[in-house]
Amino acid sequence: MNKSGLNDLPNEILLHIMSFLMIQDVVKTSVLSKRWKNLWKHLPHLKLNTSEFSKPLYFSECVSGIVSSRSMGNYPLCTLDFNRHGSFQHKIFTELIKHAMSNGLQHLNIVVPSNIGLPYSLFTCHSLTSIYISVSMYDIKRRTRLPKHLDLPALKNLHLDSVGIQADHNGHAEPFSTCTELTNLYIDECVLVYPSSLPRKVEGKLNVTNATLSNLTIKDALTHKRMAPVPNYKYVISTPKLISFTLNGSPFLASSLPERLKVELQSSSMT
Amino acid sequence: MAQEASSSTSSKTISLKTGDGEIFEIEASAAKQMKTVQRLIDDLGDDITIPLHNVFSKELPKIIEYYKKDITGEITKDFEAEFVKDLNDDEVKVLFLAANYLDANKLFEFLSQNIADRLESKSVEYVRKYFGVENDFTPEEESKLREERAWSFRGIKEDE
Repeated sequence: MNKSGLNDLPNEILLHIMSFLMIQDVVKTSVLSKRWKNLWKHLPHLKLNTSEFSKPLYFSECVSGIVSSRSMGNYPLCTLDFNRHGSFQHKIFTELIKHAMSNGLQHLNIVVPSNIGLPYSLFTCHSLTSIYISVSMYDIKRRTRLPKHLDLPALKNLHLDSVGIQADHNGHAEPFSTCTELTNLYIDECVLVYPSSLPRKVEGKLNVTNATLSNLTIKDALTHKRMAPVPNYKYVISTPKLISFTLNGSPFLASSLPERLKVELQSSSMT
Repeated sequence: MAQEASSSTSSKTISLKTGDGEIFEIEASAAKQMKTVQRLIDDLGDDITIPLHNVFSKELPKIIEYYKKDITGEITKDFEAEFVKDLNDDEVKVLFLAANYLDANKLFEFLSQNIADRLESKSVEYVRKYFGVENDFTPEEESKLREERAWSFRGIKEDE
């Protein structure tokens, strides 16, 4: 009777089982034998979630340890999931993002507290095709922001939940026009962030300008209970290839805009 | 016998012979979900008993049970939980190896998850035994590696 064990299976299958393991168990496999020592580093999808750890400190150590282990070689990374609602060290987060971006990351899904600034390497990555960022309201400072310019030429899907959008000294922001492959944009409760020198009552503009965008969803922040007062701005939408526009859960109808939300539709292929 | 079946294979059964010589019947539509079996049917014809040298009479009925449910669209989380509830870790391993050999994708995916669940927080020694891994580190190499990866060794369950 030819009874082969799991260890006789090819690496792809062992990695497949590993892909269902929690991250600590994944890393522990490196101690099994010499064959397994670096096998885990070939996993294309890293899932880092604090819920799998009994203490936030252990989570930080794990993230830090993984980044330095993976850095000792050339291990491409396709997808990164990161989830931490409470505070997290900016330095470790920046190292994680830098590492992921320099290893060809394509899909980024992160949930972060709002005191974390997003590293520059995230917005200058040429391999990224989809980004999901959700900010948990940890404190009233919106440090988690989109910069003024995005250098993301491969980006197709962008989903921003409670992310600040940096405006210039005039209160204008136009971050999406350089994303030449963008197809889907989801802006959920994001707020324009003025430079401190600009008074909040100045009417600003969030320009949603993109030549390739097909689908746009905007969910406006209707309540700001814990947040600092929100500047006064309007959305100016200039998207010639747009097929669908959903505003606050309904298809866009100019006549049914809620009072405080100003939307100017400059060009689209919709009637 | 009223109307003709819309597909000529819909009511056909295939005979499968295990490595230990037992014969089991399976519906042709269920056999289609196991790519290895389907390839053998394509090569040998569907009237011949298909030999499965690496699958045995202990595990094949369970696999047939799974795919019987699959073709009627009845696989639910409850069914899957019930399916593995009384299986020990070794029985799941054998089923997994068989699903791999048969190229039965849905069962393979489900059992991958189940194996991972069973290995959660288990000790390195337990996982080695489970996979059948021979430890080729020297004690010094192993302890050095464990020290470097200390952050991944928290909260380990006692071996059962």
